[in-house]
Amino acid sequence: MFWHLYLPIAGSSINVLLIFSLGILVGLLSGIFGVGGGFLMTPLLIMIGVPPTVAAASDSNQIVGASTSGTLAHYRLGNVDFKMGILLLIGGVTGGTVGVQIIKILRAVGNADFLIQITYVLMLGFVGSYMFWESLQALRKKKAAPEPAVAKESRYARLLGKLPWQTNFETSGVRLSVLMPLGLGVFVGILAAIMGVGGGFIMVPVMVYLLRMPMHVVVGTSLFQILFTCIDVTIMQAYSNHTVDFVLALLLLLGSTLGAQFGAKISKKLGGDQLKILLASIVLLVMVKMLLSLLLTPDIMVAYKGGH
Amino acid sequence: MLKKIATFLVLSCCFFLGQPFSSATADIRAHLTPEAIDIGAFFNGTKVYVSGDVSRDAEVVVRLSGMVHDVALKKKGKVLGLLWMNLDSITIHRVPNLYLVSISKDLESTIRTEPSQWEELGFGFAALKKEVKVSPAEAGSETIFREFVELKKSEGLYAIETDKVTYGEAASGSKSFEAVLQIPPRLTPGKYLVETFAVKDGIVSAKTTAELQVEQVGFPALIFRLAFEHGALYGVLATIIAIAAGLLMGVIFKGEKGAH
Repeated sequence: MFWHLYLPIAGSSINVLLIFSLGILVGLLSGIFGVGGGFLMTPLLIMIGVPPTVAAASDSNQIVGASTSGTLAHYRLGNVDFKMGILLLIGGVTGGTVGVQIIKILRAVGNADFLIQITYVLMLGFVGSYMFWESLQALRKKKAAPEPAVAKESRYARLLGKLPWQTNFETSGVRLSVLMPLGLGVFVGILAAIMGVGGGFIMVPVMVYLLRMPMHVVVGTSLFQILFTCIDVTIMQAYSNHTVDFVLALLLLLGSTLGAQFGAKISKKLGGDQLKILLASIVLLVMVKMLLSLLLTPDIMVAYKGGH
Repeated sequence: MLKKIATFLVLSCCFFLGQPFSSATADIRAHLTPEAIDIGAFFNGTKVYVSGDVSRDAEVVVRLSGMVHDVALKKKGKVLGLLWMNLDSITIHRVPNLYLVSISKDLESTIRTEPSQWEELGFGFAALKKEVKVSPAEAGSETIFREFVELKKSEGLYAIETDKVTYGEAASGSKSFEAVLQIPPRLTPGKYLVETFAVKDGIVSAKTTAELQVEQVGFPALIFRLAFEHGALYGVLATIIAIAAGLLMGVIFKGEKGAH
């Protein structure tokens, strides 16, 4: 049976089963990896005929539900570092505000979209490759000899140790200066605002490699932050642009809240390095997809203005 | 005499192609079913029928056009000779948001043999092109308009459909006809114009128009009003419901776990 529902804000009708399955898929991803899934959902929604601005806004509404479900599931598994999450969030909100201003300036200068897309592709490529290579090495080492993690005092670690306001983050099991999560939060916030993405993709590697948090805690903490970022985005979009389609979001979140619960369970079963290598593969796939869309001749040479 | 007829023909041509002509002429009678479309929660496109009588030697063309508005577009172009990007902003002025034309199979074959005749009648996209303006003007408006039509076609919003007009048995100088218009799911509320033309010897010999009112009703209408009239409240409600759904799912899953 194929039945359709009309989306009042998108101004089109949509197959309920298709949207529900899309929701489950994206919910799974967010539960497993701690990413919002906007990178996947928004283009798919556009493909089935939802206007770009409505797709992005309704997706953020949906992520609120999925990340609530995911955060709760990860919280029960002891995977949410609230202290770290709140510090990153404060930084992220500050960075987001700065980022919005930067993008205004870039747009005024012209050719901003080009710079943004190229930077995005390069960054996804770099982060994805590094993560893939690093976790592959780790997996190989583990197989060869279970040697203990060498506490090699790198220059980076020494630098971290010198920063003021060192604090213990018990859940993550790390000792860091509070300036680190704050500063990195600002950095990711700026990037996310400029690129028009939720930032999960950048935040997860930042937490793993720069804050040295264990992968499972990273997933839970990332979801906790995404929840608040998306609440903010949803209300702002609904208020100033009227682009949140609640019918669409509701259909999506029926699937994604379910998917997020299963995702959290799958995440628990996988090792940190396996998680990293899978996420790296997805990041690389997204990069290839973006690159292809830049390289292949489009079918139609014009597009509606708006969206990202 | 001949001159008079010629003048009359030219005048009537201008008349029919120019201003909308509201009253039905004797040569064609048409009835629209339904006369209004309600977009409810389960709306997924619909069909609109135009039926009536026309003189036996005429062809019927039905055209449905929507509100005229300006569309902002981005033109795709190559950067560094390699990468396709959305580049220049272009605006197409005074285009209808919906443009559907239904014709019969016979008329289609006539058009194929004499395309210029079709263009002169003013139903096709080429005729639409004359009505619109592309700015900035130097942007290669021919190509832009063609691509714009392709974009609209891909959404089902612009279409010229053949074999959508059928005729009944001819009796005493006139014949019955029925035309079908396939209305896409992507329908914006508003007023639409349905024009039914009788085409004889390559010119429009009669025309009748009707209005098609489209509005959202029920749940979609409620959501739409809430979103546009109480944006902040709508946003807050949307997030609260999303959080509630997430929490509910968490509770359900915990309960399930406890049971095992």
